[in-house]
Amino acid sequence: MSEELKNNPSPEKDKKEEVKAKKPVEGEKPKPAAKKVPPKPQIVVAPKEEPAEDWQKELIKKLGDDVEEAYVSVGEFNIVLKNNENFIANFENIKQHGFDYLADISSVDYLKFEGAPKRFGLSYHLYSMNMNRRLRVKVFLDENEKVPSVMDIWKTADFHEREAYDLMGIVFTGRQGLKRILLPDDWVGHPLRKDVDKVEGREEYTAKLVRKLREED
Amino acid sequence: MFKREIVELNMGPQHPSTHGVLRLKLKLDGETVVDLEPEIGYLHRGVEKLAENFNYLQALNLTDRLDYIAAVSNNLGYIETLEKLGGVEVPKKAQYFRVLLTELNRIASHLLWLATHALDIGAMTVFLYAFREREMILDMFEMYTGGRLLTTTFRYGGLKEDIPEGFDKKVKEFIKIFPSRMEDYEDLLTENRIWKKRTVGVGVISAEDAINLGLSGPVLRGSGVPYDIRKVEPYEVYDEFDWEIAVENGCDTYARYKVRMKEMRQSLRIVEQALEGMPEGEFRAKVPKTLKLPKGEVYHSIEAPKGELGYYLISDGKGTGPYRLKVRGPSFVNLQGLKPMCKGHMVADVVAIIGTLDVVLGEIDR
Repeated sequence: MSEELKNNPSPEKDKKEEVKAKKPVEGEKPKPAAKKVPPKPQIVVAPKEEPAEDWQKELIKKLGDDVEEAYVSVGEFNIVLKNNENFIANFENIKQHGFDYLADISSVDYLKFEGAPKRFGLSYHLYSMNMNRRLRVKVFLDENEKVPSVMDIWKTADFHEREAYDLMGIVFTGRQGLKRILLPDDWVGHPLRKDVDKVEGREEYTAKLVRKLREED
Repeated sequence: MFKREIVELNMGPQHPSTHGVLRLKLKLDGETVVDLEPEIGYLHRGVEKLAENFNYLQALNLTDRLDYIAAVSNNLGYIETLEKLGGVEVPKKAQYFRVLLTELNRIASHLLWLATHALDIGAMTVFLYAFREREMILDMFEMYTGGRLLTTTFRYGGLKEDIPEGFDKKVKEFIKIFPSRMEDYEDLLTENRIWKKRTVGVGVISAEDAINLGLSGPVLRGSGVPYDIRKVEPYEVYDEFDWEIAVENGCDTYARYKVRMKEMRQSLRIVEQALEGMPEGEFRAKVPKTLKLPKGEVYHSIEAPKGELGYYLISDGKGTGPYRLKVRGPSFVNLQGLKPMCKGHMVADVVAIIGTLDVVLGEIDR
């Protein structure tokens, strides 16, 4: 099905390609071989720019030394924060700066990603209702590094943090009720980690359920 | 002599009014809800993990199955996220048609909500009426995509194929019929005494609480916050049309009902304008057959029928698929509003409040 979808552009386009393919009948053959030779991994990187707007500079100044990096990429303003004792105070600062709406917290495993400083990352997507601005705050975490919860600042963080804990195994401190949300409570492991295969844990869990049922009988 | 006791009661996961497999752990004092905890995950398929193993186009199929009532909106959000990172300019014709389909989808989604919400509360007639009109929209989807629910509508850089002949005739027919049908629904419900008794003052949430809880979509707009991404951060060609954000200040179930009814009318206005102003030209930009995106990350959100639907995409620049795809489903976040809304109400009102939140479990559990 996916193959079909991939090669399913407009009918006109298909015709054009057919015509192209028909013309050089014999000269075609060496081409694919030539294609295989240069396996140059050319990685295009989305450019990072200096934050130019006044409110962005102001916010960076306010957060001071806790900012590791601040840049604009693909039109989005990013701030990389340090995970230190000022973490919660920094978020309170950001909220006072007008960012009253926490849209999303995403957890990322950078295990196979080149150029990431630490294993895990959290991205907080914030929005300001009054000023109509968006901001992404990023934090990088080592394995087993804990991060303070922002649930006291934005109640919406509850489900997002539980999800990050459940699927990625990131532990949030200073909050209650940090437990699995999507997976069963007795599941072992955190499936969104890059070193976990997509089917890992499934059979073990089913076997465990069967055993449990048999014991009950 | 009676002893007062807090009783724990399980509602769901198999319950007709929970709109899917949602389980609620209720703590009851008599028939009043003291505390409540939603248990989710029964439909968890691991969409985000699967997406990492697919290429960009294959992952599009996964987005259909998030909010299966509004697959077109899901497709649009995902494709736009790719386009934002890839930096592709989409032809005007494709943009107009995208808006047209998405707005039709919004109407279809709201009609399903209206039908089931009214049925939950006891107004059966509306259920059958709303499904009749929804059928017309699904027929249009079938005509264009071949699918009625899982449509996989758009492609990177534009549309899958050109608009079929006779499509505009179907849309025109719908535009002609729908306003009078809307009046029918409103005649049945808006001033209905039973409807008002079941909805006015039920599930109240203030604007500050709603923002703090991250609620979005009609639930937030029912609390008087005019936050509609189509207006505040216009994507596609929404800024070229003449329409208004639907807002109500009631903060309750009735206000949210009115928001959605208003929104359907506004959506129809957009559909009308999009059909009239449909430009000629290409339906897809020139894009490579195998899609590769630059290394980087992007968050893009659109106004889905249920609220803010956001995609957070990370590309490592090497593979042909996402390194990480996180979906910010509006229903997942809106479900957090259930607890503060239900406290102090009767069990029967819990049913009404689940309906007013308009959650789809496919999107919550992912």
